[in-house]
Amino acid sequence: MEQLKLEILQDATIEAMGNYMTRLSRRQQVIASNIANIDTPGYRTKDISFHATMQELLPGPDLGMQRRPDQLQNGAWSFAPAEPEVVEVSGLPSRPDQNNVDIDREMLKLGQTSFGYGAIVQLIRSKFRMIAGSINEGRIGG
Amino acid sequence: MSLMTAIEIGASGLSAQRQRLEVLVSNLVNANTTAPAGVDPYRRRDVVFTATDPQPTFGNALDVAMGGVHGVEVSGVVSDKSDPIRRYEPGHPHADKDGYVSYPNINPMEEMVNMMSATRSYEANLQAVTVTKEMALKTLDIIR
Repeated sequence: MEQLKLEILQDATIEAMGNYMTRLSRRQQVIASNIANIDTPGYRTKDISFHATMQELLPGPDLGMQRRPDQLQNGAWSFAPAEPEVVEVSGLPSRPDQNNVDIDREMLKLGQTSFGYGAIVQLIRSKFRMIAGSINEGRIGG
Repeated sequence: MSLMTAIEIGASGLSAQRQRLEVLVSNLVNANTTAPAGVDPYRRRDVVFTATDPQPTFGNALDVAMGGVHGVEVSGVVSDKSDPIRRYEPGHPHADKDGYVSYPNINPMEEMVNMMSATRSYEANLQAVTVTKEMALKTLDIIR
């Protein structure tokens, strides 16, 4: 029973999805920052190093479905990833005032972030529904 | 609350663009404002934007400490140093002894284009705030 409790309440996928949500909200801040500074001279477009850190979100080669014993530290499962890093985006053309914010790029990223966030919320919901289903003997949503 | 920080940053953009619009409207309405001879006429004004750290509050202390994201503020309003336009209007009450009246060096077309730019930037910030608000509401769907 102890093993089951761990699997349900400290589920690797839920934790990974939670981390992903944190990253998406951090990215939302960076996009809001870029849009707010679209007319600020000398401001450089920023983003967070997203795909480079995606590997850190996953607990192991088994894609997070099963924890490895070495991830059990001081009695608690832990694989907290490093904080997402804010980096300057290279390769964007600068305007004469050295600002290189591209509104189309920012709007695209805004949409992507929002869409990704909505998707991850749905995934977490379905995960919780599965757990609720197992509690309610298979009657999902009851 | 990361998303609240994003909303605050968007709000700083809204506020800055609104102030810019106010200054531009002031330029436009004063395009033909003259002053008595010897007095400096109205000068075209413009805002200076500067990137700032978001206002630290209890809720966003961690986000601010992590750095990397910036709001925007109007750090100053500067006057155009260019010379006024002098027009020969001897009958004008503000004419100098040679009959010239000094008009502000304001091009209404330029002001209109800047106003459009400010409006678009305002809309972009509004969009960022709206999308962030929707994301925050989506989070509530997890427990529904």
